[in-house]
Amino acid sequence: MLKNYIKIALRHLKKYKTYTSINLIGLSVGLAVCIIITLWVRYETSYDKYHEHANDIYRVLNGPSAATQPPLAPTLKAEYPDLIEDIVRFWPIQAPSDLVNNGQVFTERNITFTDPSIFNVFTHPLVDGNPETALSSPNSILISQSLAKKFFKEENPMGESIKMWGTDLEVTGIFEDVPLNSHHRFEALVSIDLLKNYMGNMVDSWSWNGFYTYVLLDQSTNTSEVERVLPSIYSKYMNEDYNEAHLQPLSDIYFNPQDKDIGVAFGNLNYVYILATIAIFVLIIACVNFMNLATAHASLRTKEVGMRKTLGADKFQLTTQFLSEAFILSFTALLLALFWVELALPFFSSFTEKPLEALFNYDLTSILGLISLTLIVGIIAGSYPAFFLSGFKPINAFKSKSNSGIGSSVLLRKGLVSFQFAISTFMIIAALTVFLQLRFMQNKDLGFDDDYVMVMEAKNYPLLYDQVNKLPGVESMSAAYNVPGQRFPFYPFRTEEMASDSLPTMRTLRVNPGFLETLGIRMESGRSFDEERSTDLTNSFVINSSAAKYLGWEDPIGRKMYWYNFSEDGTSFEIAKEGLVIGVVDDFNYASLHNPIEPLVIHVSQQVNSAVIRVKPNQVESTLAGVRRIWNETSGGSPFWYYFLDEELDNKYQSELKLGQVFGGLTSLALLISCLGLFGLTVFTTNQRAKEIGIRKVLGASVASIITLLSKDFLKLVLIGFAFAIPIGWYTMNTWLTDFAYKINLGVGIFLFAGCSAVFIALLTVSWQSAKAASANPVNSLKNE
Amino acid sequence: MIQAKNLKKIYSTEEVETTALNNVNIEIKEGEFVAIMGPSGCGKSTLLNIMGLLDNPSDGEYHFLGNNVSNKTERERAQFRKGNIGFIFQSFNLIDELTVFENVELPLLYLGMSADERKEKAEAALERMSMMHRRNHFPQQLSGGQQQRVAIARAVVANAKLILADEPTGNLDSDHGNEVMKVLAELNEQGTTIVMVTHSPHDADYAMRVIHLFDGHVVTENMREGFHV
Repeated sequence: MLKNYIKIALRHLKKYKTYTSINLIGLSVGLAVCIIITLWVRYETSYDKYHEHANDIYRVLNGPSAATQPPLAPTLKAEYPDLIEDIVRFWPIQAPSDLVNNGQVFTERNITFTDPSIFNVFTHPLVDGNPETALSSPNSILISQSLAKKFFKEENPMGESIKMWGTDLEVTGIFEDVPLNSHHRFEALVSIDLLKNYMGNMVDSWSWNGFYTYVLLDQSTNTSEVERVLPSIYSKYMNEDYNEAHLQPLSDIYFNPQDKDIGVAFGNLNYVYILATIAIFVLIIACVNFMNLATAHASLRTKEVGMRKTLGADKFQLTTQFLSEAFILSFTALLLALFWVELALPFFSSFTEKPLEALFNYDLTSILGLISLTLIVGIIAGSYPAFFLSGFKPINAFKSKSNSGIGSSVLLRKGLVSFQFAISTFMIIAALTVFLQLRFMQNKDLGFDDDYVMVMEAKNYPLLYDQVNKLPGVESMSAAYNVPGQRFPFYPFRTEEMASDSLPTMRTLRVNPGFLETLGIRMESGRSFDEERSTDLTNSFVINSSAAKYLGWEDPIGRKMYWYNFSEDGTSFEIAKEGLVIGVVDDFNYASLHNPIEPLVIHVSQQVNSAVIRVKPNQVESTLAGVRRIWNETSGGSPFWYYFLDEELDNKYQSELKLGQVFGGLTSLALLISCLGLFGLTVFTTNQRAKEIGIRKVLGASVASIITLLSKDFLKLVLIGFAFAIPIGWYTMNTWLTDFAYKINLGVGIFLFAGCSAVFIALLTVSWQSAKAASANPVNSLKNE
Repeated sequence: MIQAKNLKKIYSTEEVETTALNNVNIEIKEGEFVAIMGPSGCGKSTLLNIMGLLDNPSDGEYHFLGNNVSNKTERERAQFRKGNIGFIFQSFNLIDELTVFENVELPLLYLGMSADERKEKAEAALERMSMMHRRNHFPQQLSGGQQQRVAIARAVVANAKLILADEPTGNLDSDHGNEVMKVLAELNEQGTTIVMVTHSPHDADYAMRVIHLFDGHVVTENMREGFHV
């Protein structure tokens, strides 16, 4: 019996080639999109899950921040040994550091200070070395396999010496490279005991938030028990209430990075949802094609169904027959889809910078997953046509042309076409919004001029400044500790009006005179720092207008402020600078357009890490060469790095940019599949109405009037779809835009453009076929009965 | 075999009611060859559909093989049809995607026979219709007469006791038509009951009995000379 089904299915598919190819292309593309997006979603949600105890590891959060005090971990472990299985601290250094071996210098960024317990908490297998003892000496260093290869080539690195920050360290272990799907990656591990050599008491200070603390709990321990004891520790050692301390599950970190997280990879869970939804949409659109074309084709098969029933087939047998047809089609589509995936995956993988091939190795789970996906597609796409077709009454089936019982399917078919175009138009609206928002962010006036501004390390700055400033291509040059695009740190401050024991914090930018001018930051009132006035260098502040608003100052000029920094021994804060506000700058976007501009205080400091150079537009190349030459002379051998500020700031929107491009691609595919379906339906309808068209032409209808006749019905459906897409698009995209502090308005134009392009593309699809039918010789269709 | 008592069939649309059959009483015994004649629209096909259990009467009783089947559901009617009734149509109604052999085999498939049994019976039926040499052809590759012979093979393959033929020669020229009628007459001689709707007096000559319908009524029933039930 099954053989008979398969046989007739294959013959049917072979006979109606247009029908078959439209379904195959649509379904296979839909499946391929689903497979690729599933792989991506699987990768995005796999972060940090490779640790053996992944479900029992938590990061301690201090309110909105993951930065905790260094003594927290040892105290917690010592005082609550029953509660805490184990605990480990990380202090990642982001600044590039030189590692020296036998005169060879390598500059590494990802070095992390940690405790020996790291190997009890996390799963980082050692290729060589003993995890129990590898980090027990302050003079040990563990390196990753790839770093070992880079440094020592084929030689065994164990016991070798590496000099870091002037101290000789012994390689005591080699760990497997930290997987890419890890929120915190490092190339080298050194002991926190070593850090004491450089930072002294700071490492035991309760007033410094610098460490990330991860606890491993017993499976039976409830996180709330730990969250209950944290405040008591804080009140015991700090005389402060930190009621907001809580635990963040390890697997949660990737999608929920906290304030002040540094060196942490993070993803956007919303994007995971968005792309997954779209992939499902694309597949549904393809399924709808199948349903539509199959029910449309049903009228060609009434005779077959009627005859089968007359010969004794029951409804179940016929349902099985048509469902198996759907399965044959969907499995053929799967094979084709796997081919598309093989073609597209390398591109998608390098585009998203995620190693997706590695996940796609046809293991049993993947194969079962693919088969069930295909079965589901077969059932969704095939069940309606199957039930519909098998429900024909044999007596009606022979009244060949009356097609009774098909009326209900026509309505459904129209509904489904509208549905497809609602989704497609919605996707056009969404893609367009994403695109416009991105363009808006890239062109937005940041409050300063980021074009032709080069940023580089401010090493031996006075010497560097003297020489670089003389280059003909340099318009101006200055330096600062942090530049826009980086996170400006919070420091405590106080004003005259505030109680002496209250210490709110404010983001702080420390600059050399001329910095504001070099970046073209505009003054709202007062003046900028003047190198000639000594008090400007030692006792003056400039604030931004948000800060003025925040402090409630109508006229900030001349107000007094105190700015705090760590005391000498690092155990408390003390007044580091007191002075008067000499100017207010216009708010400028120093972070990302995702965030509103926060209050900012700026003052002069000689402690700088970045030089900013405004280059004359036509002399970029020569100036760059000059700067590089000067750097090599003055820096004492450090590697030269630089970037242009506008490019760096654009990078902030990389994830949106990628989303936008993936979105655009998927939208095109959805539209393509919808149009394929529309094309199939048009071919079918024009065939069905061939006789009518012939009669109309004999009676004098023009080609144009016939095209209109045939296109009108479909256009109506596209417009209905558009009507549904408007409110959905408006709501969804407004929700998306709330992620941005600075955003475009969803204007009528976006919707109009989306609607017009959907209509235009649909019209193109339909009229092509209609024109063919309309210009055919009527005699052919008339004698053809 | 067939008893129809006061059969009535009314088709109603939103606006009009059409009475297709009105108080039709017919009895057909096993082994008979009955022709039903009448002008277009007199209710011939409606009667045939009810006799073939493709449709229910609006009123009256219909007994098939001793069972009252007047108000059965489509599912129950399908059970009675299976293996008992063979159909032959004016337009042959072969399934285009199936070969000659597969078309003939189809009723056996739905009866759940094994492949060997199906092959044996289908080949026997084709042999009987002299269509074995065309067994792997598709319907479109055959002449009208050949197609109708395949349709007959399909109707008899399951040893149907009753064959209902709706203008079996209507789409055929006279040579092919005669050929088909001879085959039907042979089947009847071998014991199959045949009820045939026809316009053609020539074809009706093959039958033992002719029932004339007009506007849904049985007008006359003629026993043709030389035939005795």
